[in-house]
Amino acid sequence: MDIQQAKKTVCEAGIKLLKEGLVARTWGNISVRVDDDSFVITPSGRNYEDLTPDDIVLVKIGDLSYDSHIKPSSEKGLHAEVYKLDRGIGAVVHTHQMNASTVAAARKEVPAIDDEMARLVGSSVRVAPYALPGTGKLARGTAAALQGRKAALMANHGAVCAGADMNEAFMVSKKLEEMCAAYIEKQYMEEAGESGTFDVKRMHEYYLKKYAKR
Amino acid sequence: MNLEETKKQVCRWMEKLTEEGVIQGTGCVISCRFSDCMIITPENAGSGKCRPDDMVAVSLDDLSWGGKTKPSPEYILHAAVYRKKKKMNALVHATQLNIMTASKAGHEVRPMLDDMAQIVGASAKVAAFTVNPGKKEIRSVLRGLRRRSGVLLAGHGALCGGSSFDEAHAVAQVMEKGCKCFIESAFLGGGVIINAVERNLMRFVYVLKYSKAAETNK
Repeated sequence: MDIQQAKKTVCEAGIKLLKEGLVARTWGNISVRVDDDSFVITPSGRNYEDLTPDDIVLVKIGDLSYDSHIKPSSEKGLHAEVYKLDRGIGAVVHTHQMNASTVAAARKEVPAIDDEMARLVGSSVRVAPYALPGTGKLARGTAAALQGRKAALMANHGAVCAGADMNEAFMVSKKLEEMCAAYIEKQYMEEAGESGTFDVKRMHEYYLKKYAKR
Repeated sequence: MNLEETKKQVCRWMEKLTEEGVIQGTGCVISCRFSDCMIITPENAGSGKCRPDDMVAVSLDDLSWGGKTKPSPEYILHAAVYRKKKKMNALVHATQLNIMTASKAGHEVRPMLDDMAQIVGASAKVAAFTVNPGKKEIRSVLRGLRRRSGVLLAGHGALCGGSSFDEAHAVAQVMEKGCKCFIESAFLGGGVIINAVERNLMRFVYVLKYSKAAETNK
């Protein structure tokens, strides 16, 4: 893909993910593959609303080098490891989305809940082992959990989603959030022994009844 | 920024935070530091349209204020925080659903997510609180804010602070997510808490480096 076009795609994706509530403020990061050797990625610690294509940084997949006075995201290593998995991966989004983060904190593998999910994301979503943000250990563990899938949870951190292009990565991210929400609700209803429809307020009341300090 | 502009700023943030659901009802309380005073929302704020003239300037020295409008009953608490924590310039009393539940449950919320450790601190402690906080509650809140940017207020939400409203807003957002995670992971068999060494390290790096990147990495 042309570098300028790739940078523009990253900026537009940031706004789209922001509107969907899948990323917020400076949290998470987004990249698009340019060719076999490089990708462009969001800069470190910058708000999505303020980004222009000139702020997006070109990074080499092999050695993570970059030629810019703007620092790329500290998770560039994670994106590089994902691109190394499969040449067909054209875009990667790393989000801190709410429901996926909750399941990631509980470190539970999420099974496919419907055909669409199985087709889009894979037969399940695995959880990568915990490691500090920005480390090689986190990058390698996450890539391993993503093998053969389009999404992986990152223990106590968030999620990473991949696609042939940004549209697919975005769809995967959205579907992942839906399935994690459904998974939490299902577990709640099993524990609470209620068969009615899910209600957040009821869930909170149940939590207070069962877990609050006496 | 002069007094009038600061009052307008408080109004703008009150509207933004209300729209987003970070604060709600007539107990909305937010404030910011202004020179040797603070500007705080009035008693029963949130019951009508926010007007800059209704915002109250309270002296941090003797807690006096001019004019007819009374400040929120929490003004003594906010002033105590500004006196004790010199780098805190804005405070938001957050009342989102998950924060409210955690504050009612009375559990210290330890971080199960990296961003909670980085932005809020090692945990969100639960401080004693009443709608008219006295010395006991103030001491408890100040203890809860030690090396942290937010504290749960027993049964009443959380007090979130930062060097600006934007930063206090970020603390409220992350604390809400951290509380949601803490509550809902209970239904998944319980979440895993990040160990103390790692959460302290992440907090240190965030405060020192990452939180400044929005300004410096251009």
